[in-house]
Amino acid sequence: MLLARKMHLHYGPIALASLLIISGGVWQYSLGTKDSPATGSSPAGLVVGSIAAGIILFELLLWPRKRLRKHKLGRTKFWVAYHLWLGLACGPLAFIHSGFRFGGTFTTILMALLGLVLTSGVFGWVMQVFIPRWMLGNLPQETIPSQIDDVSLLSALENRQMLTVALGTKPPNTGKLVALEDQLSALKSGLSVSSMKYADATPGLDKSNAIVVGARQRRDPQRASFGQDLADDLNAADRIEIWKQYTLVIEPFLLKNIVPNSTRSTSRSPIGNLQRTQEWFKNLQASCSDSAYPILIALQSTVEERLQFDAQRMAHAWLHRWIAFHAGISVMLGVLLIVHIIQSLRYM
Amino acid sequence: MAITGKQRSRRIDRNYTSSQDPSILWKRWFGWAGLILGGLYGLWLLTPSAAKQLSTGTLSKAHHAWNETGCDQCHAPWSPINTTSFARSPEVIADNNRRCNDCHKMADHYPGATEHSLLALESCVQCHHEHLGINHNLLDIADESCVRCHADLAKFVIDANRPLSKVTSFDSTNGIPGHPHFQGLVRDPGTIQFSHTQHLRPGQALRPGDLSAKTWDSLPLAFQDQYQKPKKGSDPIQLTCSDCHERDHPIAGFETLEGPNATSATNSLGRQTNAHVLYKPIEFSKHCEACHQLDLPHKLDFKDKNQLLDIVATSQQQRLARSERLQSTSNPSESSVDEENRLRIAGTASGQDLIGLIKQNNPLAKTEIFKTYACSKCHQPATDLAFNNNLESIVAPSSLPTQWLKKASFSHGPHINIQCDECHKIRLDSNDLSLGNLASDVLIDGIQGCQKCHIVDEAKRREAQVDGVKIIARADCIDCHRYHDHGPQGTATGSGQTGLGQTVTQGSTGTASP
Repeated sequence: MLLARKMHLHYGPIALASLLIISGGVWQYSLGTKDSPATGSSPAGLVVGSIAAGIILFELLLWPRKRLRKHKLGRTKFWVAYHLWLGLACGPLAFIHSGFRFGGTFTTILMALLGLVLTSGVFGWVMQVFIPRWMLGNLPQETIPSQIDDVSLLSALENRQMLTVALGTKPPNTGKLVALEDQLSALKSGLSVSSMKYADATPGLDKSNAIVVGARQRRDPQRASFGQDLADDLNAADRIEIWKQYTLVIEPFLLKNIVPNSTRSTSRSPIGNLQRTQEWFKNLQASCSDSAYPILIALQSTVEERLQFDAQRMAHAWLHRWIAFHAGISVMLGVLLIVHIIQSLRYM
Repeated sequence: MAITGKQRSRRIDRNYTSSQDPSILWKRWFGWAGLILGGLYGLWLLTPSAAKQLSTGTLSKAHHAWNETGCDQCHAPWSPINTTSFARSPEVIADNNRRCNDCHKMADHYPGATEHSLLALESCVQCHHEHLGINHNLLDIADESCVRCHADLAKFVIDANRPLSKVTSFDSTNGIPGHPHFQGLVRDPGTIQFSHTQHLRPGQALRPGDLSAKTWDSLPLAFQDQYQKPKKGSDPIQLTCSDCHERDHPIAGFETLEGPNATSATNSLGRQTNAHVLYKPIEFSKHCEACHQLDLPHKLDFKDKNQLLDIVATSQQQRLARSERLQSTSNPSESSVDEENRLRIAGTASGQDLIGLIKQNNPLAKTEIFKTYACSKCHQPATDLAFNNNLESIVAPSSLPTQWLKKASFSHGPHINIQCDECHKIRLDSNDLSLGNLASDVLIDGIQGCQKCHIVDEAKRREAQVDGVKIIARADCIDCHRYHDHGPQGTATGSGQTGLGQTVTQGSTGTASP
């Protein structure tokens, strides 16, 4: 989002400066002749190469700058703007510095690394421009990525509680609920939640440590209340069918990647995507009485939320995983750049 | 059943930031991996075994073996080899040049005329650029290498008052004068009287339509096979350039034109080359004698007086015999010895007793021979011919240059596809015999003739193409000139050899003199 909000006001001068630097490099290179070509060791090549090296080292400063952000070393948006535009200028400058040749093995590796750095950087730039916009419009249930599993687990627990209140205890012939003791222990140990309030609905919960967590805390009493109202209207067949579908289909989907051996892959699940989910719940509603409608709507909402979490997890990966590659080869480029400088001065 | 943002936020643990996002962990791991890998590779690059990795490009064929052996063969560590680098100094350049000279004994560039302090800044790599790939030609020198100094030589020569040409290009561009006129063509050193115009006319007629034309039948039998027979033997004989001018080396790829045993010129690597394909000196016995038969041998030996007497006496006897036969047909009568002597003396140019002069060692004998035996038809007399009795030759040296362009290395080889008269202009319809009456007249219009095809400026090239010029060639300085090749013997530091392994010979190697 940072890159999409009138950042051209900040980028304009920097982009212009980058263009000026590149133009200067081209001009310097054009001064070279066949007799005295503007290679890396020529005065023009040296000037252009020094600028390119300076830019690369400046780009790498983003790492220590993040470590030292408490010292307030400039605003992030300016750092990003300089990082992007000067980084883009670095490629042409390095190519000019090399005299439009890749040279030997080492210099070719350097150029290849620079190309990868630039490519991954531009890729990340594009990702960071478009994916947040897409998420804003398509993932209203977006949450903090690291909390996706915890929130999904909470959703499963809330659903159990709601169904228990609305439908009564799960009938014995409707499948087996997944044991969540380990996951709850993990939550309690500090991953996301220190304790739960649903001890009465979930075996193994320590009731004394339960606290109110998230929006469900406010919503669940409502669910419990409408569940209580519905309890008398639902017939036994509805109860059995909803519990059965919840146990076999919905909860495994909500707990996928959270509970071992209960994961149902998205591709095989009948609620693996939004279209299938809506179709599946429509069929379920048709097989149940109208009294079950509010409960099914609540369950569908939970599943759709989980589907958005999956999409968010994927978007998050596209949004951030490239940084690891970008940072890794950038650091390698920086190290080899220093070697290049030393060796060039040695054998200039 | 939508929930608000606040409700959503309350589902999140307040301490969620204490958990590590996998992408952050990956970034950290990749960062360290890059640092370690780069560091290890960088450390390895500092070892001698990694020298090839550091090369900025593959070396040319000549130095290809050193791709494996390291940089120190040519590079002095921490000493810039490039003369344009910021840390250049005469000492560093000299040290680098010494590394080249260890293998390449090349001459300096006019050390006697060039400012020494500036010459010391000239580095081999200034012109010969390496690391540009195995197929890069180290001898492909850019014009800028020469123009750098020759655009204004006054700054670089010791004697700045001498007339110096400012050369920036072969042809004039944008008002800047191009290559000066060829100095080698300004003064004609030749002494042989010869008209190319006459000899290239049918039958070598003095004027067009002359009826006294030489026919193929009139040639001695021994020479007839040497010349192309016309349709009829009684037709005038037509000479071509190649009847007299033979290449010193066959042009590479065209050896069969020169005969089965012909071998083309080779460079120092033993490869065929068209560099310095010139023409052999004209030989009287081979190229002239078919038409011009002499009463005396073409090369007389003046050291052995008795042999000279015999030759002269025999030749006079033959002359008398011919004249007696002529007389006998008109006025048959017996001639006495006195009459014979009278006729012999009368047969000389000055009416002197040539035999007597030779016996007396009189210097006039040589003058008399020169005049009597038609040496003057082609030759000029030697200096002091009438006074110096010790001259070994009675004619002046022919002084026909083998290489006209003394400061260039012109070769006919690359011009094989061009007819001779494209460059050597002969007006065969002219009645003016003074035109081209010296054998040494190469009939070149001057540099303008070359500039018709050799064009540097792109705009002029396009104009020439529009004008219908079919052959357009480059005109690089290195096409004709050699930096290290400025004398027959080179300098004290060099061997005088060109980069192609050819030694240029200069001086007079003209036709043989009697």
